[in-house]
Amino acid sequence: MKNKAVYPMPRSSLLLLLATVGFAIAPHILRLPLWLPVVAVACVGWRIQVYRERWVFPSRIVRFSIVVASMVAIFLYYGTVIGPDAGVALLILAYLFKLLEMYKERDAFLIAILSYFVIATNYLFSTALLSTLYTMIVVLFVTASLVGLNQSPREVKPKRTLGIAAKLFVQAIPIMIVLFVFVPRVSPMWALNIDNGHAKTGLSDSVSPGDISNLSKSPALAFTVEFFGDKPAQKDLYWRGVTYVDFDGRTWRRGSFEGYSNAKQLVKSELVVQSDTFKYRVIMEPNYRHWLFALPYSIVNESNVKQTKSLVLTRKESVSSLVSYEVVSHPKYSYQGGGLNAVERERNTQLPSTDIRAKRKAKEMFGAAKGDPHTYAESILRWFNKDNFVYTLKPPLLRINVIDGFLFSSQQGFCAHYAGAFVFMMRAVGIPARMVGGYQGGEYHEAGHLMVRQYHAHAWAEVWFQGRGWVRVDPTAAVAPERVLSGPDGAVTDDSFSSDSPLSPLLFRNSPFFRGLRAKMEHVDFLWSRWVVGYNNSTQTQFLSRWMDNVTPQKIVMVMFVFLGGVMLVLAVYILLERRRKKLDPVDVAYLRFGDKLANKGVERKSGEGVWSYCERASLALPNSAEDIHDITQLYDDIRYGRMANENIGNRQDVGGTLSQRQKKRKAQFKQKVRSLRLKL
Amino acid sequence: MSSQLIQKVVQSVGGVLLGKDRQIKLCIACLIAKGHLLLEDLPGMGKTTLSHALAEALGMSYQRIQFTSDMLPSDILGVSVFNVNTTEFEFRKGPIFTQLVLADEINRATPKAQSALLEAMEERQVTLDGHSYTLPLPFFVIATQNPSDQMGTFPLPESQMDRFLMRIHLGYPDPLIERELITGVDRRRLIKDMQPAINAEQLFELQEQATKVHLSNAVIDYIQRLIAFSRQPSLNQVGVSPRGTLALVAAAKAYALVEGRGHVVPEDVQAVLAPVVEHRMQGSQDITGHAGMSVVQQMLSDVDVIDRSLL
Repeated sequence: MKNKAVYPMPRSSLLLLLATVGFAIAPHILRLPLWLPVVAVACVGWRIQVYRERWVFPSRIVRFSIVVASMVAIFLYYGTVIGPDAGVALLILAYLFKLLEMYKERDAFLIAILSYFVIATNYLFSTALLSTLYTMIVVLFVTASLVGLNQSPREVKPKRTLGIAAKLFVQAIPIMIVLFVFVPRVSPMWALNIDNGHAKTGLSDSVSPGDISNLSKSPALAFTVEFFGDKPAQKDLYWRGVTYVDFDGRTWRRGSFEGYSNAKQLVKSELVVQSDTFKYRVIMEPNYRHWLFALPYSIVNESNVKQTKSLVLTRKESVSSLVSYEVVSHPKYSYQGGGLNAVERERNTQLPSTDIRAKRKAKEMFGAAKGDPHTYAESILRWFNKDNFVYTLKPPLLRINVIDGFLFSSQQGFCAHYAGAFVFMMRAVGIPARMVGGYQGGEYHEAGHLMVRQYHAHAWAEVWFQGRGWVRVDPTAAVAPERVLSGPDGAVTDDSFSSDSPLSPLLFRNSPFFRGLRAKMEHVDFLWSRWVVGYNNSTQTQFLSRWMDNVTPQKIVMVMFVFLGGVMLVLAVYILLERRRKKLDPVDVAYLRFGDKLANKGVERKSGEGVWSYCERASLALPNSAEDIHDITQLYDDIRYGRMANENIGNRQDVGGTLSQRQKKRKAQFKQKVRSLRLKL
Repeated sequence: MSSQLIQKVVQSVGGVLLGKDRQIKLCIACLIAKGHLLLEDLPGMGKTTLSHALAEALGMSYQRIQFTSDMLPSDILGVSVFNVNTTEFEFRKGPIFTQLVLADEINRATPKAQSALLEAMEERQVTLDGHSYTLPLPFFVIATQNPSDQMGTFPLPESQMDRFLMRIHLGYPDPLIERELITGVDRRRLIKDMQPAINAEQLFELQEQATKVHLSNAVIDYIQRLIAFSRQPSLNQVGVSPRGTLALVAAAKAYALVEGRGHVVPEDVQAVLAPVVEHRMQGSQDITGHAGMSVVQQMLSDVDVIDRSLL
């Protein structure tokens, strides 16, 4: 092996760089395989040992084998080496291994630059305000280590270096804002699909009520709604998401072969829509699903959003980051009397061969209702209401014959049980029905927007009545009307709606202080989502049209360059001025003020006049204030020229240092004296 | 303690040379800063009186050398004489082997004789016939000279002027003082009756203290602004050299000590600026060697003690 001269990196620079590496990896730790942090510590430790000249850099063979080994390990863990998770893990490994290859100054720079990249990958997973703030702090550290690498070893003092980095950072902020506001938002050519293993909360493709014994009560935000104009009543807040059509006896599944249709055509062909509307914007948290939530019937004017025949809004790309869209909803709509086609009717009435008792009961009740679907539906709801049905989030598990078990033995369940049973009963007598998943309700924030959380998730039924079309029926409302009116915590009749997580907002929901605090935090989050993360093409146009009419991309780009030029110019002028001038000592400033006061009485200090000569002259001119003048001069002399000036290094910004208590006192005394000086003639 | 000592010297010299307290203080500061002193003025202004009085007051052994145009270096340094008894050359020490040399009318001697003195001043030793002879300590030269535009003078070159820490003008006395001079006793008799105010150890101590006088950053800033001002090309003038800067600092510190302060204030710098800097700033076209004067006046009036340019 060639004997390479190793770049003797300054100690503080190395420390800053290693700290930076740690900070940059930290937010990824939970997403990474468990062994990766161990590798990180090993690499950092090795580099430190190299610095201490205990160990040497690994040889080429060692480096090659650990790279291969880590590729294999990544493949074994993720099953792939491409895709965001595995890719980020590989990137971080490469980044760590580069530490063991840091021979030259250039390599150190490379690590610093790579750190920026590693930090940026964090946005693939989280765009929340807190993680953004964190990444900003890390950026500050990376910049500091870059600054440190460019300083001579003697200059590098971590605190000062950080200060310089902070200055650079602050100078970059105006440019950042201009770029943020003006750069046209082009939707990416490719969409990063990060849904493996992330769909932990929210609605899924299928629902199996019998398998759930403990519904998660996640208080995580599902989406936020900002109404423009009127707000609908709480009981009408049915945020429709997805329809479950296929039932196999255990599990309700989403219809997978649903025809897309243009929403506008649907209006013409099947729906009668009344003109009252709600307009609102929904800001959706990432749920890695394709459907969007809205109040039916809704129109979303986004190019990548389509509406299926069952009025489900689907987005081409999954919602993997914060997505905001504007919706116009027509709450009053009905179907034209056309009726279902045979295929649809077939799918919406199919049943498994299980649950004989329920089918029998359905026929019995249908007969009692004299074959009228409306009366029949009402009788089922009345049954749910009258009999000993309980709304609970901790229902017993149901092994076989889920519907029978629920209806006749356990009689305990949550929305999905009731909706499922209801749809089953309807289908049992040949009435088309389907289950709808979505959210019901939401909490209004003080600031006016509505927050819908995961525990607002809900399931209800839609029934096809001849002549009316699909009509929403919520069987849960029959059992626990409070669920619909006030939210899930009011509906539960047992204590199953309490939280297990120590940090859950449900925990302190009765303390006004915590509620207020939480409301404030949520409001900040909302503003962040609304204005920063949710700032897309349409919001940009909307925002900019406040100042320009007729916003076109060309115009935006032009204005952006004008603004950028302006910002750069201001910064350049500032930097030029700042470089030329040193800071005037605050004590000097105070003394000059003292000089101005005397000048007002006709005793102006000549430019080359020392303080004592001036004192003498001024005392002769103003004998009544001679004592004050002398005292001030004496203090000035002490602070600036006397022995105290030796300790007085701290008042010079370029040297850096601290002031002793005595000095601070003197300085304060001096300034106070100058301030309170009243000259007597 | 030190200020009292200095006060004593000032008073005893001031008793002889009336009304020249400022110049006396400068002279003492010059000696405390271990610098040589050049007194320049017209004949009869009291240069010799001042130098004699200083020598007496400081209690040092002194020799007076009257420089003339036919002087040779051996007249100053000494000469090797053949001793018939021992049949060896024996060094006869010249008048320079003393603590205080009073070199009268130095610019009347030829450059050859001048440089003999000036080399001794710089090295504080004399080398003759391959032997080095160390000069006693303390070793001061107080030289007097007539303005160089006077007849029969050999102006000192810049490099040699540089050897003197200060050049001091005495100037005409006050009318009142002059009156006193007319009515009073003979100055030369007064000098003979003078008692030393301090001894050599005390002088050493003062010199030691002077180096410890505190020089704050603010004053250093001021000095640097002064120096930078003198170096402006537009002045058509040689600026202050780094040696000049160091001299200015040493003199300012000594002057602060003379004024009884533990730290330098800009007034100290201003007081020593003209004596220290003027003679080092001769322009190339400057025959008289006094162009430095107007520049120093500009420096004093234009360079602000507090740097307002930062505002």
